[in-house]
Amino acid sequence: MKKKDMQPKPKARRDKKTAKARLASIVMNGPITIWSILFIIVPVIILAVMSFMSKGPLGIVVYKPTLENYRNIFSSMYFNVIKESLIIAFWTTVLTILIGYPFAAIMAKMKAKTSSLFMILLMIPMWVSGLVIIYSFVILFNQSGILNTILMKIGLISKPLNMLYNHFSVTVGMLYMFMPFSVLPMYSSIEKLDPALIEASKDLGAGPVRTFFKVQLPLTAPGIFAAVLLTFIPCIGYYMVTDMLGGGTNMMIGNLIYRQFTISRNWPFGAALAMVLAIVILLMVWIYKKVGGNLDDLG
Amino acid sequence: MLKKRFWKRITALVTAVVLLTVTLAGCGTQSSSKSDELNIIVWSGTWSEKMFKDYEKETGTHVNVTYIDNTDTLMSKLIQGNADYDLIDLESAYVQPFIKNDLLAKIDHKKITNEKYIISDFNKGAPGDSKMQYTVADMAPGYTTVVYNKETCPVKITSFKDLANPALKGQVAMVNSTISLYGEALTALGYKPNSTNKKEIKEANDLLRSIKGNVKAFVGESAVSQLENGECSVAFCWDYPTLCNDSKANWDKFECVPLTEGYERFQQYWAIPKSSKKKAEAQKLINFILRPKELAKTYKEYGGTPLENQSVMEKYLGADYYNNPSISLAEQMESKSWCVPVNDKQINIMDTYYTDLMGDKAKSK
Repeated sequence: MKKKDMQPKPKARRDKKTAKARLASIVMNGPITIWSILFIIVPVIILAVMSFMSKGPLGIVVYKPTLENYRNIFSSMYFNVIKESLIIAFWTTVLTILIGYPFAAIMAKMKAKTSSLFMILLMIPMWVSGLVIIYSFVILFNQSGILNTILMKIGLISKPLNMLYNHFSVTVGMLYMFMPFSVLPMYSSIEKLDPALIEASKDLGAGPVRTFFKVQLPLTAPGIFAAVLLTFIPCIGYYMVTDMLGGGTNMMIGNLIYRQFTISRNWPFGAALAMVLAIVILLMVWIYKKVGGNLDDLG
Repeated sequence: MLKKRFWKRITALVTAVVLLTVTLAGCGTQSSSKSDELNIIVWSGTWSEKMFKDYEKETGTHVNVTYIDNTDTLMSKLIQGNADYDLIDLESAYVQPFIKNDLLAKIDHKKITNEKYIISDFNKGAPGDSKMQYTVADMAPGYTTVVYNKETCPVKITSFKDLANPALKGQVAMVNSTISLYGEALTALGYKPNSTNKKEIKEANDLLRSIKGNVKAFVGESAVSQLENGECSVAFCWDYPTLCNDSKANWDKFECVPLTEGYERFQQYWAIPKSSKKKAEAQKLINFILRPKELAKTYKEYGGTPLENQSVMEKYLGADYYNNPSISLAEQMESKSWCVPVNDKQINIMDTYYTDLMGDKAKSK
């Protein structure tokens, strides 16, 4: 037999390679696919089905199809709750962007070592439980808390300042919780910006303000958009800050969903609210992609 | 080559199976308890763990304790989760719906001989179980009423309606339980706390709306920190015993107002789920817990009004324990209290109004 005949044919070799690649793909992706199916896709399907069902005695889900849950969402009081959540999410996003952008720009200009240190400081809130952070603000801001005690001891104030359960505490809490989500994508975008473009703008006679608005801002817009999305989306459903630092005097959509699954025991209505929230979020991601955003930038 | 491919496939398969097994291990129902163990559900922070350990030492039966923070979790575990529990710590408002839905087993009170030590005023059945066929009292009752700081509260409070006084602006803390809020508002207006009449509930909602203008914080569990750190001078809550247990300084600082129109009463009961196959063992555990010596372990750890007579408890708690003002108050408050069982229709109406109340930004602080 000739040596040539013993060698596998090119097509067979290709098939072997493809089979190998397929196997490797199964090994690598199989577990995460099973995980995603079990814990993301199946629960979402259950939630979607449940949102069309009815509530029975003691909160048992009765499998009797109805559109009532979705019809109820559009009544004015639930609409007010959704509106309030969107307003709080909007202002939190605007503030985090306004404060986060200069912060990200300064970090991008720092030496690698210093910027890494700032990056770690920025990430700390993400490593600690949100509940612990919020409680620490309660300890810090309350009438007999650390801040008031220090201010009174040094004679700056004669009676405690009202810093808890108002807009101030909610704003500080929201900014603290969501700042990392906002700064990180903007930092990554600003860092990638070619300094030569800024130099060129200056050489062509543009001042710092003009350079910022005409060159830097448009070129870092994808980072800003990613920051908007990463802040706004979790903010809509996040109610711990408004509850614990704001006094819970206004209901957010997160509270509303939580109550349906607990106190009200109306799981189908809770599921319908969760589905509407999910659709709003998906819609925003779709718009982001349509205007040229890269989903990889969202993490 | 074939061998290599075989091992790759095996690795992939094993990885998937391990992942699935680990994942599914946490799912499903609470496994059936073994013959020498009991599965029980109790509220967190209310029972001495040492007491359960001592039961284990004495009887050889291991007690698996699941802790909950609200009845909703209990219901999820029992109804939606089909879990297998032998003893549950049930809130008075839920006794009736649990019986109606055939979830509880009858209790043989002859086996619970230590029930004789319970103070007679505290040994009353919850609505729907007045003869206590399905329950045994496990804690002294508590009351949802007004507590105020004697040094900082600017007005005298005798009724729930007084919380709407503009002098209290930004000084009120309030529980966010719909039954407690609407039940009290209905009572203050002269209606039944379990009314399902929409007109009456709307009136109650209007009263709550006027009080909401003064509310600084709605709280889910406790208003103790708001009162202690000075954020609020008044609270509509169930925390007077907790305040008194926290510090002796609070005994003079805070006062509990028995509202003229009445107030919500709540109590915890031991109940055995119908699905339990260990009714006799569960009854044995209840009887053990009701031994004055065992019950005292919980009060020493967490405080609270003793469920059993002073004559038997004082030996273990000491006479000083009874100086706590919340203990003497508990017995005085029985007369005007009300307790309503959870009712789906009522919850639906109240919850709709509650959403309207909390979604209304204009009237909030």
